[in-house]
Amino acid sequence: MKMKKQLTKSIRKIVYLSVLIVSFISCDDLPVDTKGELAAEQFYSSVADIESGTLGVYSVLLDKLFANSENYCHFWAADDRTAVTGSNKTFYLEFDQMVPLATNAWQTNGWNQLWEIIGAANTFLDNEEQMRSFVEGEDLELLERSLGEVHYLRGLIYFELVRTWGTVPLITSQADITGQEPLATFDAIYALIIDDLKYAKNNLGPTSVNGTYRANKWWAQSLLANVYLTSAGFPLKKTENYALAAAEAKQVIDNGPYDLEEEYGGIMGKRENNLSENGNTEAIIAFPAFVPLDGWSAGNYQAEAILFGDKVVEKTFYAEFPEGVRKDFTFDNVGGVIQYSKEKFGEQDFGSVNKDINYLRYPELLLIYAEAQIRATGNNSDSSALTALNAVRERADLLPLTSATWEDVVWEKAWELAGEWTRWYDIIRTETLDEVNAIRSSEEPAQLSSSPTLTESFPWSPIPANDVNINPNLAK
Amino acid sequence: MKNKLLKELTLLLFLCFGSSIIFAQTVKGTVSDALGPVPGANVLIKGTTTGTVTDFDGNFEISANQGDIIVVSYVGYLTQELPYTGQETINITLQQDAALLDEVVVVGYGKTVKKEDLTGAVSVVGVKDIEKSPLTNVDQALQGRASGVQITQSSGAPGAGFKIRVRGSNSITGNNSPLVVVDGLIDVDINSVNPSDIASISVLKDASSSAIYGNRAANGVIIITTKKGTIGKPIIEFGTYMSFSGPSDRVDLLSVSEFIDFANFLNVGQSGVELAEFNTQQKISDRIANSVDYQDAVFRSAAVAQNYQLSFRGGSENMNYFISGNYFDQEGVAINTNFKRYALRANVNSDLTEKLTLNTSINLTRQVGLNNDPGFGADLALGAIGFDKTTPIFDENGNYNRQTTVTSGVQTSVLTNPVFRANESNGTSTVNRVQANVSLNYNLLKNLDFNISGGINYANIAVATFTPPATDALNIVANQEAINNNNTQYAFRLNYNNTFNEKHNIEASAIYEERQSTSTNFNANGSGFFTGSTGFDNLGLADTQTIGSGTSERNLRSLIGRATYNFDSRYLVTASIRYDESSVFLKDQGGVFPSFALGWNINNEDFFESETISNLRLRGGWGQTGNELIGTSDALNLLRNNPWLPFGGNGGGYTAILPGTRLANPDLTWETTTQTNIGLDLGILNDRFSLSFEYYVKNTEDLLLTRLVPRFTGRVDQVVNAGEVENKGFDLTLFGRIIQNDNFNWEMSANISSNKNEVKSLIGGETEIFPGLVAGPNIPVPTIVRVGEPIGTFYGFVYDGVDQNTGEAIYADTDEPNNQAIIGDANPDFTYGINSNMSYKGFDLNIFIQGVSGNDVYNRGRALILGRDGRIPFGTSAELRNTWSASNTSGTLPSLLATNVQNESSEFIEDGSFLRLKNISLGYTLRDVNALNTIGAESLRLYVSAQNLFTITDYSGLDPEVNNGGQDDRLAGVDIGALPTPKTFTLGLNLKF
Repeated sequence: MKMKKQLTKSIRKIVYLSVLIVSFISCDDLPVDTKGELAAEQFYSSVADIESGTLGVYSVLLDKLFANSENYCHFWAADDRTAVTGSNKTFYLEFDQMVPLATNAWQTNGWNQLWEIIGAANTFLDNEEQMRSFVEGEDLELLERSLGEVHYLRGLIYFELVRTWGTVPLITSQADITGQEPLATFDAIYALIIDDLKYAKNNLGPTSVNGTYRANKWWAQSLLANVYLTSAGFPLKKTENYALAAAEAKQVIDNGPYDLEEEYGGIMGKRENNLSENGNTEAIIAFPAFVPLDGWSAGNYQAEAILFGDKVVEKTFYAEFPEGVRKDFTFDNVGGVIQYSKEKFGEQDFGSVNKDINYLRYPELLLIYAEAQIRATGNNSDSSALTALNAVRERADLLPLTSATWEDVVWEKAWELAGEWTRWYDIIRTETLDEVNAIRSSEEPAQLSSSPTLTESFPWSPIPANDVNINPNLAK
Repeated sequence: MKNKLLKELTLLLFLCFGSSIIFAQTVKGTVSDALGPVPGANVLIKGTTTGTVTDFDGNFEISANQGDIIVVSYVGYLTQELPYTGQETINITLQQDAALLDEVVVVGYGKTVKKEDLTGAVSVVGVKDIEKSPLTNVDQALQGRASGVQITQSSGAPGAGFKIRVRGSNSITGNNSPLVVVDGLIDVDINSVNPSDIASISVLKDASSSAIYGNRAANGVIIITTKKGTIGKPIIEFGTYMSFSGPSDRVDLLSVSEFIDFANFLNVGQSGVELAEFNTQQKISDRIANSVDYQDAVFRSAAVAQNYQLSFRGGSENMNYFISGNYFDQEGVAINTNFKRYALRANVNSDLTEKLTLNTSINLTRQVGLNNDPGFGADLALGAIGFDKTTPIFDENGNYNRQTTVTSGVQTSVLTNPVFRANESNGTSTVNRVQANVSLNYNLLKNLDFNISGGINYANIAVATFTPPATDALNIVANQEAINNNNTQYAFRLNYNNTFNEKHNIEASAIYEERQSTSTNFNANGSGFFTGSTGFDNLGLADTQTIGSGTSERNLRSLIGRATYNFDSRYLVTASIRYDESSVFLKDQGGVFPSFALGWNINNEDFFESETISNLRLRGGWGQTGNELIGTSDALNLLRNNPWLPFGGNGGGYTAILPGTRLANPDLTWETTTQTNIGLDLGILNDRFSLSFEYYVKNTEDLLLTRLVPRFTGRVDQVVNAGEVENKGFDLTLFGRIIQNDNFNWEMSANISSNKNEVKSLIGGETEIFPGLVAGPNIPVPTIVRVGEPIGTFYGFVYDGVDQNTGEAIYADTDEPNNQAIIGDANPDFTYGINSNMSYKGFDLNIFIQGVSGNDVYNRGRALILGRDGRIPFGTSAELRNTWSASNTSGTLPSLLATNVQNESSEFIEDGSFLRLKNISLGYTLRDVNALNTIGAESLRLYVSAQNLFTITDYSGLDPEVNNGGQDDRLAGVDIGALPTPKTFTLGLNLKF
């Protein structure tokens, strides 16, 4: 009896204890620490998040990427730029001499930043469904516009990537990304770019909203014209796209708000010509090089690159350049040395740069149209093409042409856009690298390599060693 | 007083039992041990209640009849029985009990085992081992005293921490520091413990011992137990010491005139002209006259440290207490550097009822450091040897010469005047800690205990720095940071313990535990002040102000089971299993960590008969432990904001948000270490001599590795589980009481450990990683992580002397790209310690030697003072005398004008082996009762000691032990100029009342 009582007492004790313990023990998963962090899974849940996420995609682009000439060393492979020898210019020199290395640190920076934008764009697009779940009315419009901008940006960056490095991995979602993805085909990459820009064209209105430097319909459409033109040439050679390029360009020419500035003094190089100052009728796509972003990077774009001797014109290019107001505008003779001019690229004002970086100007669109139209129709006397071409020539005080080959148009483009964004890509697209290199002056301080790795049939920058080392699939 | 009472009691007993002891005689005697008289020993007539206790002097008086047996006993000694044969005096010398000498070993979660029942590899450092040398840090107590534990002092800065590695490094990019448990409180900063409070330290080295700590145990577990009160008269102890320290070594530098000659030679070679500052004899003699020995100016010849320690302990049957207070104030060897510690500890244990016991432990500490950041100290040390000595400390107006006044060279030294740096910088760090632990034990049933414990470990860390302008006021930088760390934990434990048939002893525990660590931080920075007068106290005055804040939280939840079975103290079995969940992992939060171990006490077998061998035990164990020490949100897909002004301010008021730099890894899980350990213990002549040997192999797999990802992912890196690292080696401990007689005793212990580390695999098929690490102010370090080589391997050019014709350096051709090769290994072949204690009457002498052997050090500081770096364009090192020149073609250093010298080369890899006299101390314990009575004390010990008195090494830098790599094992053995370990002389006093 006593024994039993003691046992009951013990059991009671154990029951109390068990209750106590069980009340403390839980079997749910432990909560992961997200305090103070912006976790992707919880973001994209308000209208403000949509805005911030969209700005995030722009931010790398505007903050660093195109504001610093160090990020596009490949432009030095073209004939409108050449590098001086010595000091810290070797990263440009490698391209100038046609032997770029996979370890080129500056070119690697450019690659890294372009992909940051792809990552930001994909992350935004990965959350489209979630964002759609809470918007309606005006907010839905905002979302549609934001999606348009983000697709535009992704298209823009892949266009830069595919024209510079050739085939690259095609990342369209950040979910489950491993870093071991293979290279995609040119076909697939261009298909995505075209899809993205079509999406953007349809989703965006004719004016930029919430910022001068935000994409609108015309930006997407102009870029699309250039994409069609490029995809019709090397390496994809989808010649049927010339007609599409001409059609897109024509729509912008006919319906867009753009026109040539009457004087070269009105196009760039000065703060009052900036888009944000409403000072320019011919800048279609432009980026602000604005000091508060980052003094050094913003300051290194154009004038400073010239000042530092980073960016010099090739002798033959200068010699062949048609005489006239445009040549005078484009170059300065500084004590017998020919440099790009302050008038075109701005006064050196390191530390207080406030000049736009022009990515696509209206004359380029006119020349895209002219070339595409001539190629699509096979008619060197196509009147609409000649109108577009002659508009550009007229401002340069050159005689109008009554017949022009596509080669004439491409050279016109080289002169008009000398030192800007397009020459290297035109050389690749038109398979004219051998021709251009053949006429390079033997008096250039830097000579071409006798065993170039950058060739007409393989004009691609080497994919950075850092990435190839980790992902051997990227080796070409 | 008490003694008098006892005497009266004895008298009373004498009266009560008068009839039986009527013929008894009064016997006088003394009880002593190897060291002298033993006060408080029990003296008893066997079979009776007649007894007494020895007085302070070990004397006793007792009545005994012929034929009685006198029994003398004292804790920790073998009990002696002496038949009484009628003599008037009896002197008894007690022998220490070998079995008890092997004091119980604390193995965690409330369990202690007798050393003879131990199955795992545990190093024990007892109070006896450490009380002989004045310690400032707990890590010092372990250095050289615990086999298998390598402790490296990273800086001679006051209060600087140590790098502790138990049996090598497991992880390449993860944390390799052991887990520290203090009185049951898990994960404590080892330096928050006042070394004087320590009763014992156990280092759980093998997995069968440490697996009970599961998730955090892969790097070993250090269990610190602090002192407790004991039943008896209250004891008051007071200890103090004062010490004087100076740098343990000086670097040989060129004389001023030699320096000027070399500088001119170099400048002529580079630009054709002598330096404008050194181009006339008048200027040179003025320079020499005003020159400064910056080593003298920066280092104190006698930095003073003071330590005061007061403790009270005692107890009754139901309660005991230990209360201690400590104040420690240490000047650093560099001027204007200082460290202070205030500590208060209270350990109180009480039996609330017959079945309910309450244990509490509270520790409060405050540490205040001034300019004691190791990086700052390294700057000063480099300045002391590298700054231009022809530039006086002050200019003619009494203002500091902040930079060198020699500015006409092709390059100008970028070093700042170290005296200016030291005196005008103000970097303070204040750490306030509260550590408290409470446990309630309830005896539920016979043999079954239930225990609830809870603890808190709170640290408030405030760091403030003011950096004076190196050139002008706009460069003033000041910042403040506040960090609050709070760890809470609680556990339930059921404990069963029973013995069947006298021979089967079973013990089993089941534990449930939860721990949470939270950390918040807030920082504010200002740069560009128009005045330096407000220091870091008014950041709002700065032109540019930035603030930041953050928080992190880590949760752990665990279930633990442990059982031991002991058959007749012959066969021992231990097994444990632990299940852990950690919040830092997303999908795979749980980890299971099993272990088992077997032990065989051969000496307890019937067949084993030996006069000489008193102990022979074989042990073997296997277990798995884990590591979860990554950032609390490393597995997550995080976003970041771009501090960017959209469109010149026109962004609609929104911040730009884009993905962060770290790629998410939802599959991330534990890093697992599997370890096998085999041990042998041997004791000879009642354990007068003993030996303990351990061999182990441990493999760490699924390393928590931060890898770079291809940048086309849009991210920079990712934490992954990949790769494998192996550590294997042995630990050997020897102990002997070499001489033991009435007056003279000599005990020695020695340990030697060897560990071989090898990277077995990396991510995927990778065979090597160049981490591209830098130390200090962006100085590249030639390290490589390569499969087949240890972590901490140097890789660079192979220096092969000087071309006698040109003075250019020669580098050997290698098979590898860029003509480089493996040029060194920072891991030692052996580490060892030898501890010797001698006593003669009241004197005791402790000698403690510690050393490492076979490790390489990258002496980058040497390259700097040879002028191989733009930081110090004109070298200062005395070694420059051996420079090749047209007139000295046998010079062993390349010409100053050589164009091909490489800093990441074997020229700067040196043997870092050293043997150091870590401590030598001579003490005297006063035994004269009259003298003691005069001062009212029970005992008094005076001692003098010296630390780091000499170091035997071929290393040419200041200190072979220092490293600037901090806790990163890939940066082990990198010396870019750190504060050397000080050489210290100490005078101390311990009083007991």
